[in-house]
Amino acid sequence: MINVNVTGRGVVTALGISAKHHFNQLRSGVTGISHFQRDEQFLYAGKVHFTNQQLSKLCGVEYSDYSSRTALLGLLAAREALSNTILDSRFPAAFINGTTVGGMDLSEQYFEAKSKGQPADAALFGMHDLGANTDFIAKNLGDFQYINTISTACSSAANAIMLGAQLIQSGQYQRVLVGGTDALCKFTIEGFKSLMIYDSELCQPFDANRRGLNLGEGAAYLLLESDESIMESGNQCLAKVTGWANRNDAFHNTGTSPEGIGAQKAMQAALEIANLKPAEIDYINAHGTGTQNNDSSELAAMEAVFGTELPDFSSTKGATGHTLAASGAIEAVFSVESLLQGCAYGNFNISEPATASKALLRKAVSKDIQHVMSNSFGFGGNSTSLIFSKC
Amino acid sequence: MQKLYIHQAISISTQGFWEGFDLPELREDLEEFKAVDPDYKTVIPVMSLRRMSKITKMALMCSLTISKNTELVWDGIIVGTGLGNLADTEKFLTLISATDAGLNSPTAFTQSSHNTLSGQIALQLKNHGYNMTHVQRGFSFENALQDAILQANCGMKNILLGSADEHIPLLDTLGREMKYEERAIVQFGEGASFFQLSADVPSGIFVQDALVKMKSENQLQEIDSFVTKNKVDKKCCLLITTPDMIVDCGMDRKSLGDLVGNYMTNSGIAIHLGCAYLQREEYNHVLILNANSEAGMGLTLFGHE
Repeated sequence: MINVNVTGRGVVTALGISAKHHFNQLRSGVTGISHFQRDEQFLYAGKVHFTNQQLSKLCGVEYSDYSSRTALLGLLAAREALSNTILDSRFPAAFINGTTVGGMDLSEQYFEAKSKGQPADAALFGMHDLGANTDFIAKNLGDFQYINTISTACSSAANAIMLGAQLIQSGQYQRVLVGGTDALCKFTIEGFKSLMIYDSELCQPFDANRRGLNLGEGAAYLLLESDESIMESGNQCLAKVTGWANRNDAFHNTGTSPEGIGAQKAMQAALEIANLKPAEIDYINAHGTGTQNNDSSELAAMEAVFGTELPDFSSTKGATGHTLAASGAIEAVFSVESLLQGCAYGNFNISEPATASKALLRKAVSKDIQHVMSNSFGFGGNSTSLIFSKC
Repeated sequence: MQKLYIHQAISISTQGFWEGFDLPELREDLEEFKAVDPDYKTVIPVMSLRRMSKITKMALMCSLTISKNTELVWDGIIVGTGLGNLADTEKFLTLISATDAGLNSPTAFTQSSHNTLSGQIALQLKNHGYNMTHVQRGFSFENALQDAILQANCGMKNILLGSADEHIPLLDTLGREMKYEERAIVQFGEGASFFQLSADVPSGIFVQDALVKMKSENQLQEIDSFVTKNKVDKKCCLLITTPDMIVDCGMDRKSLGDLVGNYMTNSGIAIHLGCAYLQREEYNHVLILNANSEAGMGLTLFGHE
């Protein structure tokens, strides 16, 4: 059996840049969500504190009005994921990117100009198609023999990681860069507001009185390598991807079933692939968006899979906001740090827990961690569960 | 690779509603390339139909008709789309640019997600299996097919594979603003194609090999080495290309552009067309050349037993 080794990781969110920095912020209980102003509206969001000009500079690319924020965030995180690793070698590499909004920030500018009767620039649509964002990141990184974009709503990056793991395990590729990216844009902010699930206050995942989610933005990537590839590159194994599963809830286009059928099936199947018993999971980084619907069905699903002995779990979306397509990759990086540093993160902003279980962590806990599960669920019933294990 | 058998194919395009491998005569004199609207009510509940955009209706019509013809429960539903639900995206963009902070209807937003197609199929069929959406420009369908091959290698048996893209008038407007040639704009097409694939139950037609190259310097050379590797007799192989191919490569050729128009996932319907030729045993092999991308190429080879 070929191991799926994680040898590089990079992340950018409202908390800042780099995996190490994120770990320190999460352990200290710092949140990146803050006041955000847009079109005379004030709301809470996890905004990355750099303009597109600054992001371009940080990524080492020339600023252009036609580069999407999603692509710039992605490139920044991907560069970090590859920074201490060797990619140029005799092994062809693959790149799988998850995104849902792509260049929507630019498409919005076209529509806004049109609605005001002003001349609109059609070239702003150059990155509307999601694959264009992936291609932008890829061409600034190097040569990839296989390039793909996954768009399964909020489970996009988790599915990109899963597909990458399968490409490695099947022997098709030795090196695969996987992850996802999504920028904040009016489209998604207005979208979640129209669904009445955008919390006007700070979001409270897994709180009994939770009101909804705060959106965030960001990107994260993992470099996955086979054993053979590690021998050649000398890159250090940080963690292993040992379990993965993609299932569908098949209940409602946007809502999840009360018992979290899709989530249950995904968690169970991921445990089977990893050949682990539920009790062997030391920490679950839950999807935990802060909406009534998600958190109650995720809790029900975890109880169905793990019984009364729930492993320690928490949602880190109180720190980053819900970063949609990127969330699965951002939380995968958090899971890898959790294994490396021996720390399960605390949930944010709980005043009255949604469960009596002590497994819901209100503060970070230091302990030995062998296996972490990371959940990602999305519109369209898409439910994906990943398991990361110590090397 | 192991063979992946094709048991059913259903497509919607400007050529009509194609069910099965016996196809009606192709119309080669088409001047516009909007897909026909079959009687969606036969498989889509009327209540849901009203709010659905054309891409969703086309994808459901194909996938639900295939599912109706079989008792199988899909282990995986895999969809490729280049641009996704354009009509709903445009609708919501218009809504939010017109009203600054008003309360908007969420319908267009929730339906604009690229995975609406695979999600709706799962929802209508109450299918809890593997569910994936690939969105990689001109290679969206090829990447979905590659995923199906990978999943079959990982033990998946029954797979519903499909692709869909829709046309909206905004594309024509953008094309004109970008100074595209009028002929190219007229050829903007749309359509959907879905297939029942099996890794273990044989049928007459199968996928023999598939290759996607993100960069290819010499298209002819790539084709030659691909057919040689697969021991294909060029005289008995039909080449179906997405746009017109100028250079001769020693095989009979058909171009999709004049038949169904150009859209990012039209290599899906190329496969359906290929199945028809293989069914009639006019050729031993059909090779699909996807040249939708400027830099790369996709090659998919089919054979019959």
